[in-house]
Amino acid sequence: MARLLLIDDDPSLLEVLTLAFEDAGHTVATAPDGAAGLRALDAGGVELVISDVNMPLVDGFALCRKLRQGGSTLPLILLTSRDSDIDEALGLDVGADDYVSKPFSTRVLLSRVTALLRRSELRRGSKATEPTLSVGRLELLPERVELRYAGTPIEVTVTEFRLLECLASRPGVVFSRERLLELLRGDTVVEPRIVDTYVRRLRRKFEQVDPAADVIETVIGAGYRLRGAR
Amino acid sequence: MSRSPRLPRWSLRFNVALLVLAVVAAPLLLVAAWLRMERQFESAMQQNASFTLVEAVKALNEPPALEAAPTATATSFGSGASASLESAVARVARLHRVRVRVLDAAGRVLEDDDFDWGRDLSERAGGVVLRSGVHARVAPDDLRGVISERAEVRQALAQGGAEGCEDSAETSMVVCYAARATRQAGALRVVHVQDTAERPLPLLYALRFQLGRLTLVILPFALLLSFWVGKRLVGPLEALRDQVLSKVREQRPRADLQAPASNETEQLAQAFNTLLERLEERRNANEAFVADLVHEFKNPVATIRACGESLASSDVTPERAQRLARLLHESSTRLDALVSQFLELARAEAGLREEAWATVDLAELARARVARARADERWKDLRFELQAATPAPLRGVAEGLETVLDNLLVNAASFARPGGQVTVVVEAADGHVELRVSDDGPGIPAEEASRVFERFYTTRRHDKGTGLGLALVRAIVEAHGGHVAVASEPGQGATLKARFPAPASSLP
Repeated sequence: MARLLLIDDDPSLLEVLTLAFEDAGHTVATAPDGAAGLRALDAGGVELVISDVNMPLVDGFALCRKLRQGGSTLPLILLTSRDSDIDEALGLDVGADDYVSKPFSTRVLLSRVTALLRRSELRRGSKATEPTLSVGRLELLPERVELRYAGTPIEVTVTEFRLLECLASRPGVVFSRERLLELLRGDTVVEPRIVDTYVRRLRRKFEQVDPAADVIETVIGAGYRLRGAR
Repeated sequence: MSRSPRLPRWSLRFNVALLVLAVVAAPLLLVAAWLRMERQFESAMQQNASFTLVEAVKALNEPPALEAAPTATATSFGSGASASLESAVARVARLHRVRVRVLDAAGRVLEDDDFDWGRDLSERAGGVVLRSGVHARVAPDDLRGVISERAEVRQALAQGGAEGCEDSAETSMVVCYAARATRQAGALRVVHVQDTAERPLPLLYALRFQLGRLTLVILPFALLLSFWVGKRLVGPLEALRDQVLSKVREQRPRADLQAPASNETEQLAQAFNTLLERLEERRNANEAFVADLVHEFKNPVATIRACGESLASSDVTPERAQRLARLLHESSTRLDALVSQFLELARAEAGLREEAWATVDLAELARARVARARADERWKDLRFELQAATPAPLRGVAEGLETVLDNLLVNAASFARPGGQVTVVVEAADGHVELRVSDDGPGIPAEEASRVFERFYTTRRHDKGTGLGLALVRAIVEAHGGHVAVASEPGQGATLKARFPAPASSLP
């Protein structure tokens, strides 16, 4: 199905996870630390990365940061083992697509991987079935997972694109955090605050293009909505 | 739980009240005490006077035959015919330290032997300590009039004898006397014995009733004063106590106790604040440690959980079951190692047991541990070199020092090049013992050198260690009053050092 890269400094965990993913039909490559992980990524062919946060030498955050700074939007899931890691993992600076807290259920990890891959496949999708979505200066091309603001393309991860797509499908309508999570991932296991960090990331990306851009509006106590056409 | 504790009986307030009352009542108490003492030595003086009188009368009537053997004292006092009479009575007077006078029927003084210098300290205390200024040998006659006209002399002439003490308010002396009429060679004589003591507080004694009234008047004011002083003393303490007790209810008590007054309680508040700060530091360190530990637990637990889920799926081949069993074993071993090292570290950080301290030769220990490492299967391709020629005695706990050696050896061995060398050096220098363990591995980058002794900081993979080994080394070395250090050139291997204090005086 897909080529995954597993990075963790615990060989036992790597081994049992490899077994599980191979059972699910994926091809798995492993790396014992962030530095080795980056080398494996350079070799190419990886479609999704699952990385531990706490590793010697190059940790999960550093790996993710390096990847994003290099302009990659490769789907990446971080395996966190501290509550304090979660905010940082999803923060603007690191930019992981998702996280799973250790110790996790293999089933949950697999479903996250599947969800991310599905969205990722859309990006590469050849079938141009869905029409371009335009709201004001915003242009979304679902078949290629491409986003443009006032004609300028903005690099977004699949999760960010899906979030914006949901909001853009019904401009002006308020989506609660729970509803957004459901639409994004099909589950609400994780705290809804993960949505906040996605929104923050999107806002920053818009601001880099146009400091005055105010596309996503926070509705206090309710959720988020897309500002109507201007 | 945080109610104010019951006040103890001997509280500060009570003590202050007692002190004030004591000060107020002091003059009265002094007079009362002196009176009591005076009564005692008055009766002693009286007895002395009566007893001496008997002896003096006897001496007066001694037959002349005994005068042939005069004592040395008698000859020095007397002269001529009267020497024997004088000496006998005078000897009695000197012996009992009294004044003895012999009078004839007309009241003329025939003899006067004055040795009344105070019989013991209690009689003389008034003169010696309080300096009443009246001399005991002169004053009684001034005070009580001419001897021949005194009541006791008249009574002796009329009725044969009299005795008594005089301690009237006006006099500054206590005078005890005894008189008796007797016959000397047929002639009527009166022998008069007198013993005196000074009275130090004649004025206070005279004022004792007024003094009592004055004390009663002052008493309410004194009680008010004691209440006020007590409040001033105890108030700030109680305020501080309430603040401290309120800390009990706080989840994370902050070191923000306010001094209720700028006196000694301020220092007390500061002391409490210092204590709270130290406790806070300790708690933060503990929380960080527990957080680290929980974090470290999660990897093996995640593996165990994943294995469990994998085993639960329907198609488990025997090969896979075997593989999963091995993974389960590895993870549980790792959990076990984590728990035991964690406990060891917690113990070392809490300090080493007092009774286990002894003089230990580190060189000797190092020889034994290096020999063990040489025999270890895991490192059979490594060479272990030991440089520990001289004994290196220090005060320490042998068990802990063995752990230090083992962990440093394990660390060096796991970083050494394949077929490489681990060098252990033990040196005893002036006032300290140094242990150095070096490997020839990749070395430690400068930016990481300061962190290698932190717990859970490791550049090794999880299968090679728990991340607690070097933290344990540091905890044990510091519990010995020593410190650890690291020296490394990238590519040239690393040297981990532990330096222990070993003052020569503390060793046998």
